[in-house]
Amino acid sequence: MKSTVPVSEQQREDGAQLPEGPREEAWGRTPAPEGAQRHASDDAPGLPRHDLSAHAEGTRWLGMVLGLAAWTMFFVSLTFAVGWYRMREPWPPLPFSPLLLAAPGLFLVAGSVVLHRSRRSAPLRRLVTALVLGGGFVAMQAGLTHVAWWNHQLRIPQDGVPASAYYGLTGLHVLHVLAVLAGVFLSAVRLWRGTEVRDAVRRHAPGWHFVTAMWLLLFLAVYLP
Amino acid sequence: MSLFSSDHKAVARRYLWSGLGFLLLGGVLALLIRWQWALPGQPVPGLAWALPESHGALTPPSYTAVFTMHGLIMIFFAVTPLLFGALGHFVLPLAIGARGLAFPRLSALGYQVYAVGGVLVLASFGVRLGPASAGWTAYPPLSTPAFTPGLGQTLVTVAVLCAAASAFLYGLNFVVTVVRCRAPGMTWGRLPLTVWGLFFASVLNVLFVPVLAAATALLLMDRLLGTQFFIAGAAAVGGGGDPVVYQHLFWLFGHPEVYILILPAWGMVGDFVAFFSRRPAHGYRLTAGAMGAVTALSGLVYAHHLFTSGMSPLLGRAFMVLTLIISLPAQVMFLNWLMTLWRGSVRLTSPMLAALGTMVVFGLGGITGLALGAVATDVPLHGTLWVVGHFHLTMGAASFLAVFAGLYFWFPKMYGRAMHEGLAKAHVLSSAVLFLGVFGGQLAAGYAGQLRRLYDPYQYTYLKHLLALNQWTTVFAFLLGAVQVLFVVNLVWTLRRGRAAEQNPWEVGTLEWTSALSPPPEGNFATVPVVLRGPHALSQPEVLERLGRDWIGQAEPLPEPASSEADDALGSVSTVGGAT
Repeated sequence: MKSTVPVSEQQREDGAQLPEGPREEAWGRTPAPEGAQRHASDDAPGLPRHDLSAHAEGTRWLGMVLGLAAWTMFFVSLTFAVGWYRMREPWPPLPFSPLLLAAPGLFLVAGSVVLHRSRRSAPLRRLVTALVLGGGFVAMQAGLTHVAWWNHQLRIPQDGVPASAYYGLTGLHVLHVLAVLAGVFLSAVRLWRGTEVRDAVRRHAPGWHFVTAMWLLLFLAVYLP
Repeated sequence: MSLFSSDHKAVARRYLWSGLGFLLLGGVLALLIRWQWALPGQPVPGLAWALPESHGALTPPSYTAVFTMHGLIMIFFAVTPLLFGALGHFVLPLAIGARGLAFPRLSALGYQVYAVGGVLVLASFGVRLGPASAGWTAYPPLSTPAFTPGLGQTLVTVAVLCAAASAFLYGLNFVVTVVRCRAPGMTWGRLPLTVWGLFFASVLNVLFVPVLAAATALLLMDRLLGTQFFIAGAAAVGGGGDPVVYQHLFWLFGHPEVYILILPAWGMVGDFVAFFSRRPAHGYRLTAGAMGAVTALSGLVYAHHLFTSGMSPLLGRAFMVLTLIISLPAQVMFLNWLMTLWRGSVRLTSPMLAALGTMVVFGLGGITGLALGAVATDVPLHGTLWVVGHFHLTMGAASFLAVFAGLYFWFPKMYGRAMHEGLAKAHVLSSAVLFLGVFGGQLAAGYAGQLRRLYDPYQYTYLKHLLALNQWTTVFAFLLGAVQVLFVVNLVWTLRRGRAAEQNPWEVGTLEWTSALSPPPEGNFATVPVVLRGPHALSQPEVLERLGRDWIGQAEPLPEPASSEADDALGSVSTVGGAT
C-alpha cells in the first residue's frame, strides 16, 4: 500500500509508517508484499513454502553455532582460572611428555576432518570412522589419567591445583566429547536405518570442531608445563 | 494445560506460577531477616515447628541459611524466571509476529531443568545441617566442604547450575527467535522496546551464564571430588587453590546478571511510557542503542565488586572509569522516558504506575550505585547495608515492579480476563512507596556503617543506635509483605470471576494486542501479520482522521482517503508536521 499522506521527520524517527519507498529488509530478505497473508501452518514468515525447510534448517544451524560459540566462554573461564594459578606460581610438568599428551588430540583433529568431509554426503563408513576416532580419544584420555593416578601417583587433593586442573578439566572436556559422540552415534543409527541425516551431520561437525578447539585450549593451559 | 506442552504460552504459564511461588518463599525469608534485625534473637511467631530448639528464634546458623537462600531464590528462581520465563516466553514471539519460539522443545526442556533446580532448592531445606549457608554468591572458602559440609550446600549448588542451564537455553532461544522468526515487515527498527530489552538481556545470558557454569562446576568438583581449586589456607594441601579466582568468575557473570534483570525492565518501561503517554517513544533508536551500549559495557565493569580484594590500583582505576561510563547510556534512556512523558496525555493505569515506580526506584538505585563504582567511596561502603540497599533498589525493587508492570499489562492477553484495576493500582503504588522505605532504611543503616550480614548488629556499640532505624525498616518490610495480599486477592478473584478482557484494553498497536486473540490460540495468529509500522504509532494525525482513534495496529493498513479528502488531509498534516 502506498500512503499519500506525508510523515514528518519526527514521526519517521518514532517509527511511524513510512509512506513511500521500499520498506527495510528483514534480515537480508525482502518483506512480503503488503497484503500477502500466510497460511496458519507456515513456520517461516516471508518465504515460499518450498523454502520453509531450508529456513528451519538455517534456524537450527544458527542456534547450534551460536550455542557453541557461547559455550566457548565456559572453557575460556576454566582457562582463565588455570591462567590465574599459573601466574601465581610455577606450573609443575605433568608426568608425561607433551608429545604423549598431544597424541589424543590427533584423534579429534582426524575426526574433525572426517566429519567435515561428511557434510556433503554422509555414508555410514565415515560416521563409524568418526565414532572410532572419538572413542579412541576418550580411551586415550582415560588411559593417561589412569596411569597418572596409579603409576605416577599424581593425586588429588595431595598434588594441589595442577592435579585438580589435570583431572577436573580433562573430565569436563571428555563429557563434552561424549555428548558430541552421542549425537554422531544417533545419526549413524538413523542412517543405518535408512533415514536421511545429512543436515544432522552438518550440525554435528561444528560440535566436533568445537571440542577439538577446546582440547587445544586445554592442552595449552593445563598440559604444557 | 499440559505439563509437557512446548507451546511458548504454556511454558510461560508454568514459569509464572513457579516464579510466583518462589517469590513468596523468598519474600517470607526476607521478612525473617528483617525480624532478626528488629528483634534480635526473639522467637518468630509460628516458626517453633521449624526451629524447636530455639523455640522459633533464628539461631546464627539458621539466620545464615535464611539470608543465603533469600538472595539465591529471589535471583535465580523468582525474578529471572518471572521476567524471562514468564513474560519473555509469553510476549516475545507474539510481539514479533512469530508462531512460537525457534526451538519449542528447548523451551520446554529449559523449564524442566529449572523445575529440577527448584525441587533441589526445596529439598535442601529438609536435609541435615540445612540448606546453603555461604551467601547467595557462594564465595569459597565458605562454600567449600571445609566450612559448609552439609548436603544442602551441594544440592543448592547443583540447583544453581540447573537455573543457569535453563537461562542459557531460553537466552539462546530468544536470540535465535528474534533473529530468524520475525514476521514480514518486522524490521529491527520496528521491534517493541520490550523485545529489544529481552534480546539484549538474552545475549548476555548466552555469553555469561557459561561463566557461572564454569565457576559452579569447579566449586562442585571441590565439594564432591576433592579438587583444590578454591580451597586455601589451613584446609588446603599441596599449595591449595585461590578463592579469589571464584570471585572473579562469579562477578564476570554476576554483574551482567544485574543487566540481565534490568534490561527487560527498561524495555517494558520504554514501551509503557510511550503507550500510556499516547506518544511515540522519544528517541526510539537512541533508547535501543543505549540498551545495546549497556549490554556491550556490562561485561567490562565486573571488577568493581572486587575493589577491596587486593587488586592492582591501576586495574581498580580502569574498572572505576568503565563503571562510571556505563551510567551514561542509562541516563540517555532515562531522559528519553522523561521526554516521552513530557506533554503526553498520561494515563495512570496500573502498568504505567508500575513503570513509573520502576523509573523512580531504579533512578535512586543507580545514583546510590555511583558511590560503589568509585574506588574511594566503595572502600568504606563495601560490605555494608548500603550495598544491599543499592542493589535491592536496582535488581530487586525495579525488577519486581517491572514484573508486575508486565503482568498487569499482559494478564488480559495471557488469561483473557481483566484484573481489577483499582486493586492493581493500590498494589503497585503501595509497593513502590514501601520499597523506598525498606531500601532507603538499608541505605541509611549502611551509611552509618552497619555490615550487611551481621546476626546481631547491636553487639557492636557503634551500631546500637541503629536499632530504631532497623525497626522502622522492618515495619515497612512487613507492610510491603502485607500489601502483596492485594495482588493475590486480585489474581485469585480475576481467575475465578474476573470479567472477560476486551480485545485491546490498553488501546495500543503492538501485534499481540492487534493481531491475536486473547488468549492467543496455538500458533498465535490465524494468519501471520505483515508489519507496516513501528510499535508506538500513537496520536498520529492521519490515523486520528481516518480511523477516529489515536492508535493503529502495527499490521493494520491505513485506509486510503477519498481522493478529494486526500488533498485536504495532505494540507492539514503538512501543517501539523511543520508545527512540530
